[in-house]
Amino acid sequence: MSEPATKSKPVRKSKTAPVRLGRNTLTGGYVLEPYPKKGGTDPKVIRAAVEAVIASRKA
Amino acid sequence: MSEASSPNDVFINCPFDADYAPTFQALIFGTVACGFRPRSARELDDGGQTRIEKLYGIIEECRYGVHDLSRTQLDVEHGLPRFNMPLELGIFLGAKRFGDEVHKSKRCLVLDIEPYRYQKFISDLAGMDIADHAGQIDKVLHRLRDWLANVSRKRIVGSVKLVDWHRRFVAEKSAIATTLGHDPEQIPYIDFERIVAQWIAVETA
Repeated sequence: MSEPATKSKPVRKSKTAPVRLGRNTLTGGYVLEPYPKKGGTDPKVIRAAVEAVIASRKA
Repeated sequence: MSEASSPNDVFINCPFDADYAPTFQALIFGTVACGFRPRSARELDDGGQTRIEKLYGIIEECRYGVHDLSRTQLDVEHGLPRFNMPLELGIFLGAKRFGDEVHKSKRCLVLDIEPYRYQKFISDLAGMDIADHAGQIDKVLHRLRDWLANVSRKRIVGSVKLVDWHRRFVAEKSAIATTLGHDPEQIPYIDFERIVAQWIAVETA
């Protein structure tokens, strides 16, 4: 006998659910993305600028 | 039960004037570095709601609140104090006192410039622990870090390391802002938060 079919609802991502940007290797905790807001510079562009500045310090 | 309240969100209730900006930015940095998300009235740019309604929404969504009363002083121009921060602290305490179980778990850190100064202008807070910071950014970071570690039980970076990170971030902030085409002294709040989060993510990876 087959199992009854279940209707799966699409899961809506809560606006308040935190998005993890990465793991903090020092503490083992997560770095969370800021609370979502409209507008501003694309986070990918910001990431590239941050990486470039940190890389120049470490070079 | 409120589904919106987040154990990751920290309401930052503080002045937004230029003199206080380095301290405000340090509070944002410290909150993110400790693994939380800062929320503040600076994110209120939607014209569809009154300001107080928006503040209710942010306070509802935050389990934690940091309230800096250090600028409770007479305005030079009008001879009156600005009372937004004590008002927002009152709303936060009211939510904790009268809200449902989720809101009863709210925790707040009240900061002032001196330990007992608050007794002269908001004596009803007597009995609460008020943390003084003497207007020093390093001390603000220490107070914030120790309090978040205590109330959340999260594993959080030590305060000496946090201060060290913050100094390094401040040294690089202008170069990042310039790369993005911003005036380093006037980075839009949305971008500032994102710069902080990305800097910490890259630096601690």
